[in-house]
Amino acid sequence: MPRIPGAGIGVVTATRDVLRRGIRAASVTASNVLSSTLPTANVESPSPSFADLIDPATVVPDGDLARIARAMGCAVEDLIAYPNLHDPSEVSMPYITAKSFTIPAYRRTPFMDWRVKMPPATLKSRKSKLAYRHPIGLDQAFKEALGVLEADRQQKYDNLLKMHDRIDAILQHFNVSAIDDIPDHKSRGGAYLASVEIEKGRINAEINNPEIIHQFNSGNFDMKFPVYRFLARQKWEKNDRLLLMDRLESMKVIPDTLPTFYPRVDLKIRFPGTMAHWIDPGRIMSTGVTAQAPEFSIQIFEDKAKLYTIVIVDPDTPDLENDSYKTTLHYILADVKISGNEPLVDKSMARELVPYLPPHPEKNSGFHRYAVWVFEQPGGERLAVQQRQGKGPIDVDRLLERDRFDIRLFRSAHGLRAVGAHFWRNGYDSKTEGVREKFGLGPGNVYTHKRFQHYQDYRG
Amino acid sequence: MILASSFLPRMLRTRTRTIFANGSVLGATNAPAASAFSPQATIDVMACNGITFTRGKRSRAGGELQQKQKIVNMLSLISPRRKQPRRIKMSYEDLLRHRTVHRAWQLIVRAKREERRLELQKQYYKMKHACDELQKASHVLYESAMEKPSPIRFPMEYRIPTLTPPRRIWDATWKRPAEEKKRKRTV
Repeated sequence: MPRIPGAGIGVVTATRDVLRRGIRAASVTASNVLSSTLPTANVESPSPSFADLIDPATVVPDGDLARIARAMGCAVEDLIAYPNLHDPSEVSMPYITAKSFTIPAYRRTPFMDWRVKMPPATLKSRKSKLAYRHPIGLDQAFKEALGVLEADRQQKYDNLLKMHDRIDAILQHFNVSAIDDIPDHKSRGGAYLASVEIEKGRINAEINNPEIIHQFNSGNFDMKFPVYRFLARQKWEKNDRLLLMDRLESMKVIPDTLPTFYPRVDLKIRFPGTMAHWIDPGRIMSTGVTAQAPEFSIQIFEDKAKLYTIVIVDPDTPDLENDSYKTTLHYILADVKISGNEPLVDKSMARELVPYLPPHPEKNSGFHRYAVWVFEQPGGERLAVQQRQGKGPIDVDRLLERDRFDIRLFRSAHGLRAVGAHFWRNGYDSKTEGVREKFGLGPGNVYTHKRFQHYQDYRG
Repeated sequence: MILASSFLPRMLRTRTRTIFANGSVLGATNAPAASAFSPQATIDVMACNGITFTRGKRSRAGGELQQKQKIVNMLSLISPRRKQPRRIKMSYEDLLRHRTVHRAWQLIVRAKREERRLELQKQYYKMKHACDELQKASHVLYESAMEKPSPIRFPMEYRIPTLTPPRRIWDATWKRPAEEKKRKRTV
């Protein structure tokens, strides 16, 4: 989903129509500058140009800007977005107006009889356009529904403002600025509950708004608004998170690296080159492709920008001394700064503690799993080794060694919390020898089906 | 569960007609006029043998037919056919409108439900507080108020009233049957 960083809510692809009409509001002119530099082909929206979609039927009520901004916890400038097509001097807000309750409409024809109506714009093929039957009564029901939802939304705004007033009154009474500083525990609890209500209310006020849903589906939204964060997380939880957990558990990545895991961020990886799309967890890759370090995308569902650490380990390296397997460290990237609107990892701004070692599985050792773990750094600070309470000293040099890497020790030593995971698989293939040569990794073992009693027998 | 005709025994294999959602019939010579919003209850018509695959009255004609119908009924119970709501197929725009309408309706239903719940809650607590006050005021009156009506509606000897009268309303020649002799216990 493409983001438009720095722009306010509802600054969708500013179309030629918008520019032609000449918007006066400051933030929108800023966004016009932004959008003119962005390639419009990037934004894939299921509907045609936005100017066609607005139903120029309603008038915007004045004087509500400050009230709504206060309720939604955003700046007034963020609310200004869509222009009024009739009168460009008036600006409208997607958050509160009935105008914002418009979704891709049919192209207006002189005859509004359903039989001669133009088919929906999202249907592409002629066959589907001819076969489509518009549900009878939906238009009228939709109009009625908008009335109901608008009344409900106003009620929710009133409730939000009440909560805000309550918190302000408590803070004023105790003459403090933050809820945590309130001395009386009952009032502090009351203020905290009110703030929780506000968080939920900001989502509930707009979750029924079809305009918001449409913007989310089109990918034109800013993650600083809680309703879009909620929708993004809901979408992730419905499918991708389930798939990820299924793969992690069925391939047993979870007990073999970290004992358990609760995903909080949407981690995606892809390898540059021809394999330039996000891979699904557990996919078997070619060692030629994985010879280059992957690109990461960490989509967080919170407002704050935080620092993260990315670790790649291989838990399937054969350990001949112990007749078992050991974990090899392949990559550590620390102090990765991620915010909701910028999920792509910028390696140049991060600290590479251990450079990328390409996977080079040995012949007949089966498929190795290469697990990618994303940890949240505590307190949003740069990574530093912390003293573990009640335990012995940590050998700092040993922590970052590739051979026999202990990811659980690494996690506890730095006080990290696992928030994201992913993995792919590699086996010995035609490209592995080339990778070994190119990176000077030496010849690997060739395993046979014949098992020796002891390692010494094999050594000879 | 799909009733593939090749897997059915010959006695159950019957000719079917497939009817699409817009009312047109596969292989029909006179296609019915396409309606804008055809009723979604389509008909699976069995052309012969008298077996109905719909849920309806059982036919009482013939023993073999009844057996076949029983088998069909059991299969129908297992399969999910015609027991699910129809899948909504709409364009993206109409889906958005549908979602909006659905959400608004759910809000209305929730408001009604909440109103009713609060009403009942108020009534209940008013009754409860009144009874508590009565208990403090007069124990006798409270106990009298708390008496529950007897669950017994009719004496044991009475004939329980029915919706329709019996076949024989009055028997003039009825006599009380003689009492049975009590059996003596031997063990």
